[in-house]
Amino acid sequence: MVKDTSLSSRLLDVIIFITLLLLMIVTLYPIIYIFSVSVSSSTAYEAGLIRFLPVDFTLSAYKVVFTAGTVPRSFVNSVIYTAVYTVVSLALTTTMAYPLSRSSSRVPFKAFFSVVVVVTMFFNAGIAPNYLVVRNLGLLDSMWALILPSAVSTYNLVVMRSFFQSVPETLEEAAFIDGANEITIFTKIMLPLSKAALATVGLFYGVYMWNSWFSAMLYLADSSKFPLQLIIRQIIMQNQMAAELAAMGDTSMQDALGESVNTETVKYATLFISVIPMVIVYPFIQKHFVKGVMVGGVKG
Amino acid sequence: MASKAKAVEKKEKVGISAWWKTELRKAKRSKFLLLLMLPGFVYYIIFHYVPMGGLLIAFKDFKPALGILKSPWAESFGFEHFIRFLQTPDMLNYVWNTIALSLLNIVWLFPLSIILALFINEMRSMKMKKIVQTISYLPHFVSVAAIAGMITLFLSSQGTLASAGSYANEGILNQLLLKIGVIDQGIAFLDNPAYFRTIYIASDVWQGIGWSAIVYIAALSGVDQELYEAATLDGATRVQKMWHISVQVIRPTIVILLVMQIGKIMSLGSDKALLLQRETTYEKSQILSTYIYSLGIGKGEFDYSSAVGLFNAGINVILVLIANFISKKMTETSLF
Amino acid sequence: MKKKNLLKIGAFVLVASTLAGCGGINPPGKSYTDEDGRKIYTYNYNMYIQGDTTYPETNDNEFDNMLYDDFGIVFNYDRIARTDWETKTNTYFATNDAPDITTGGKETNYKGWANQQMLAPVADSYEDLCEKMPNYVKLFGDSMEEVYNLAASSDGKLYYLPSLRQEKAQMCWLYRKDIFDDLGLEFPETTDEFLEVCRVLKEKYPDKILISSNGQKTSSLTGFFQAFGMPELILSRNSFYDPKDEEFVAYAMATDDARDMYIFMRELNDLNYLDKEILSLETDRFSSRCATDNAMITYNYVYNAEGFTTKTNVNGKEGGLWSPTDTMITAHPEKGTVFKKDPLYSDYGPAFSTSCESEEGKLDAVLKYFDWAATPEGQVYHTYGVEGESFHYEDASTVADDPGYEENWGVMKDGKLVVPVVNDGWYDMANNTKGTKIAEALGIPSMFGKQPKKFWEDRGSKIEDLYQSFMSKTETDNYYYIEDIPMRYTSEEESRYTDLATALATKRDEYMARFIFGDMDPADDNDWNQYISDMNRVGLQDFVDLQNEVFERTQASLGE
Repeated sequence: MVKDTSLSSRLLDVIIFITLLLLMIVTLYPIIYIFSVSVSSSTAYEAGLIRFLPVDFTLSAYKVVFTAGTVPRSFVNSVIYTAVYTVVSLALTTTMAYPLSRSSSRVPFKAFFSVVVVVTMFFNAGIAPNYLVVRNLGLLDSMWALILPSAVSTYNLVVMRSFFQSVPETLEEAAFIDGANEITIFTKIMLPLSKAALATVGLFYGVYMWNSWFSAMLYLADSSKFPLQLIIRQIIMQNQMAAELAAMGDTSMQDALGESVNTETVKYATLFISVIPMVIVYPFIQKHFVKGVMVGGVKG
Repeated sequence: MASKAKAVEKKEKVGISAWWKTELRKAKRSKFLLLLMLPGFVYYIIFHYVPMGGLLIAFKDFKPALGILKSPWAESFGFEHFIRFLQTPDMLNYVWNTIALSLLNIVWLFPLSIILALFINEMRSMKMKKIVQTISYLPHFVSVAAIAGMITLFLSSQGTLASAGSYANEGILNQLLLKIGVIDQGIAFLDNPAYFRTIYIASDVWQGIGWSAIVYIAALSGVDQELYEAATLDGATRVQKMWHISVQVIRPTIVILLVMQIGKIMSLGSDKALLLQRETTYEKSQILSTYIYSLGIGKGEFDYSSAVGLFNAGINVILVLIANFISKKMTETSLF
Repeated sequence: MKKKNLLKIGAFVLVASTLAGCGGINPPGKSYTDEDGRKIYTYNYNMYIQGDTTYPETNDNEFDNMLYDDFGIVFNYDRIARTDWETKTNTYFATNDAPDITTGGKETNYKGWANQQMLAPVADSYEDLCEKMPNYVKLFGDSMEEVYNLAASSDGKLYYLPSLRQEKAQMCWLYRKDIFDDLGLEFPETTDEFLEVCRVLKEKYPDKILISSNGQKTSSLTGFFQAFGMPELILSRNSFYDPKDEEFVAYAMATDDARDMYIFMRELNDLNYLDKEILSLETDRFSSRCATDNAMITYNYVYNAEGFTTKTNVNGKEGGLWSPTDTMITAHPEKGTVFKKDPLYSDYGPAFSTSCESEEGKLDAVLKYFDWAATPEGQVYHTYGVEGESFHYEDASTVADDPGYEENWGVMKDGKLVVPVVNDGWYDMANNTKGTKIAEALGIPSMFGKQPKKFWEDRGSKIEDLYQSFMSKTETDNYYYIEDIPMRYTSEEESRYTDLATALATKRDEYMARFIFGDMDPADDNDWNQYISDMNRVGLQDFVDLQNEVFERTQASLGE
């Protein structure tokens, strides 16, 4: 690239630099702030002393989170659910998306299957009917109650399909001529080609499961199976509930809160812990990811 | 397009039974493809279509003890709940709040993420590019609950006067504004309906700008560098190149994404609004999905909330079909 | 190879989905006859919990064995966090999957389910209850009949068991005594005096905010509601019976009194006396108000004063002192001063599903247990556990074996319970650390447990003092309280009530913020009329008619 050294170009560089720097600050500030609160003393927090960096550095909030609470177990649960869910969802999505991406001359009942998929984008049965299905399948209070009901996201299916569509059909025709059958084309050509899309959709699924709590709340009864986000929600909601209940004359929850001195810093420690895994995992799939989003996004 | 039209014509001519026969023949030939689709198909039937029978509840006077099927039909030929919703005095307000938030999201997030992509594309250092990108989509991974918690914290205010020595009870934003003298008293942003949309959209932008920009960045990275160099030789400035080359390259992407967004206007989720809304801001913060949520879960009115949801879904179908049609016309790509 | 793997996964998923899990959470418990020929009843028990309590994982523990041996009943617990209770339980009932026993609801929940014929009546009449559960009735003493009338459904039957409240009056104004004393101020008795006191405070501390609260809208404003002659829970109850004017007010928040209150609060806000977040503040942020002296007056729980003082004296600050007062504020001194006397009972249940009626004796068996739990013996068991295992008697007083317990738990002296027991006794008090230990060790949920001695020292005595003080003022200072009134809705009225009340509450809260902090001026006739007409648009008049009708009918039916 020819290097442009004109004044206007320099000026543009400066503008871009400053804008992006500001953006970085705005983006990172809240995240760093959460961290700072989580490692500061609660009195410093209450006195409003924390602006950016930790004040009275202490790990007591993390100690509370990791020893007394249900956080460690729920963290492990979340990791397991996310991993299993991602694998199951990817398998179901890929196998469904591939045939739907092929020309209708090859795929039997393609129009029918497409309609089956698309209708679900608009109509959701609601909580009670879904609950009935999960119950009747005997999935209640098991990991599968979280995984199976949302195993395929139609949006992700469309992204995946778009990716397969972007692979030129000539490639397959050549393979057919070489004597390959549908099975070898799918496993030997399409799947290896779609690593980027798999990474992308896998990340979509992973992020979704990691951050979800609603189905866990509804379908799980045994607290030892709860995922992290459900615990986080309970921690965050508790404060609010305590005040509401107190207004109704029920102070029991305030008692519960009164016992733990560090409520607020503990809350932030938990929040911070919930962000970490995604931050760690992300750089590893970033490369594929950008490519995958491009193809899926442009087409879908 | 033309060949497709012909195919349709042909199909109609030969009739359903013949079509059935062809499909069966295809099935015999591509057993594997059919097999591949089977698990997914079973999933859709079990977890989407079986519960969808429950939508019937929208037309029933639901009595849990009797179950969905045995509950009596609602009055007005089953449309009682729909009529009730349409007669709700604030119905239009909820619809408008929903649409306003969706539109504002498009108006802000769209251009801003495009600008971000263009800026990142213009950066000269590859290393910086990568760092900026990685940081900018970090917020996407933060859960909504965490974001709501942060917002509450940053925007809180007791109403401290600027003359006070300490602003300890103000959120970080109010502290800043008080210090530089923009306001003479802290503002309780979250308790004031006037700020609800701004807060909602600003946090949307914060969380989504880097994520939305990825698509454009990816598209831009595929541009042939020679185009830029030729333009440079013709004496084009960088701003001109950004406009005439970069923006043109991502235009189709912009159009499709825009159309898709418009199709989703009515399907704004309840998660974030629920966490950010307070009774005092209902005027602006009550959207359709939060209304459905509060009735269905808060009050246990499953029949009514289901009717409202169905009504919403109907509007969505229409919107998406229109958006899809426009997209097909303009860019020859479509959702389905 | 890959294809095979994929297929395997697919097949596995399908098989696993049908095999995993073990049926619903709440299929009604089956009864059976054990080896000894006894009839054993099994119940699904929807128990709501708070905090991190761990319970024994199996039913092989002291508590469950006791239930089996003494009552022939088995509980299968579904322990639900308070935060999730509403969603889960509503779903259970909506899918006709109600657990045999439900705890943690509100009276409106229970009455609603009763109207839907999903609950089994505990008793058909007051007399029936006295016969069925004599020990339980004894707990409430003279007030039982009144409790029954308030808690019963429209058909006159009782569908859940209310629990006795220990707190008779626990809310009052708290103020920074050190600052008041410093300025020679007394806590005000009227709204005019209140303004004057605030003026003096503000003069001395121009940069401080004076009035705050951590109770969020419902309880933050309570003190002001009462100052204008309305009861504390008016936002959730909507209507009340004014004992002074002897009239029924069908919708209080649209009356002239409500308007006067808004005008008063608007003034407090305009003068910068009022915390801008008073309608949404949480405990944590209230603590920072204390730490910076940005709260000098709050309407709160009497026993919170010490905690607030601690929160005030941080970061080297000294001398801050929060103090409760038995002085209430009134805008109508000639009429009297309202204070909050707490309701007679709490409404957490338990309630029993119709599934308990499906088998002969199933309901009676579990009621027998709950009645036993109300006896002194039962209370001691739920509080202290088992004699010889977790406590012993010394001179007819209970002494916990773990010395740490004794510091925290109430005592039984000379065969009598010193602590009058059973606050919100029906649900698990897991949050009491010592209770947690018992729950962990013996599996005993401390239902009907005695309040800890520590509770009594920290709170109970203060509550009792405040109550006595208020009550004595009813004789000397024209103080009065507003009692709950029974309202019996039919099923159809009930759903109309819910619809209207919800719509009205949404509008009301919206205007509340605008009147106190925002763009509407309650003193301006146009603004006020707009509020009233908006309220009428969402059904104010219908609501007023409904309430008046139900009130009169209920009065008539109880008068018979």
